[in-house]
Amino acid sequence: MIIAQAGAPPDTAAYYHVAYAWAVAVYVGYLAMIWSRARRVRSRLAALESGGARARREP
Amino acid sequence: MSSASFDDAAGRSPEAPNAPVALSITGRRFDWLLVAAVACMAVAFVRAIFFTPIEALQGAAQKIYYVHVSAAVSAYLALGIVALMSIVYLWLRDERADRLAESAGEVGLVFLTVVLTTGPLWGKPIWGAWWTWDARLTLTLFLWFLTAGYLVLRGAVDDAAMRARYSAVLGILAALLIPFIHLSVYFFNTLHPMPIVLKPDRPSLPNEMLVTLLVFFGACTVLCLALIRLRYRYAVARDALRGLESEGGDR
Repeated sequence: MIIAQAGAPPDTAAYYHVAYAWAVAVYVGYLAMIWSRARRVRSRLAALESGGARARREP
Repeated sequence: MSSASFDDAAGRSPEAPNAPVALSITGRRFDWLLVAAVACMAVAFVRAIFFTPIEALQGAAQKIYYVHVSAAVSAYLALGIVALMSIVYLWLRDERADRLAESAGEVGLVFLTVVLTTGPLWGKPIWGAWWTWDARLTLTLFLWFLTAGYLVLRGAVDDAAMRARYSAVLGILAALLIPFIHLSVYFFNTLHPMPIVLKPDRPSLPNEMLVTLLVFFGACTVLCLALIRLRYRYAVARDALRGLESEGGDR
């Protein structure tokens, strides 16, 4: 445990920097994960949809 | 409200999202809510880092509090939405409610992960230990496992109607833990600090710190709603894809 020096706040900045960087990494990482999953599904959906449309046009 | 319920063994419904609708929903390039969330989070971080004083006894580690508490409140909000939408699903059998509950459950798990990892980063310099089996910490860890279990359950059941029903019950039960977590510091003799804002009396924070916390509350709430909406759009597209794939398999 860090003991406070007389008058000055204890130096605990490293923990705070790690916590903030970690929180940002988790939020951005999750956002990127949703984006990549949505993009994958969207491209498969578009491929299936264009295939179905072609099939509907061809008798 | 028109109902859109699972009505066959494969869990497809007559009102399952069709491909063009799903493509138009997921294909929108500009998501104003997400842009607002990112802007609000940037403002909150800048305010906390540059315009909020360092606490005299704890030092800079006290600033972890803003990220930790606001993530906890957002996790409660997301899991509250899970419970509410689970009740709506069990009542109306509307698959949109199930999809929204699923989306909120995943986002809730992300916020709970931030809570459970930033807490020890504050605890180590202040308590001298990364973790203690204190009532609030243990109950929050238990809620994390319940939420993870909720998502695992959703992935494990093939039948959509059964999956929605079972997970709705689990989602409601998980949310019942939230009031216990909040009140655990009153019920038990815990090491975790008592609430200093969400309590019957006036908040016991200096104004500058209180404003920073409220900015973080607001930013995290907007981020939570933006992520749930984004995840819901993905779920719509995924269900449309499943519908198309099963139609192809039936032919």
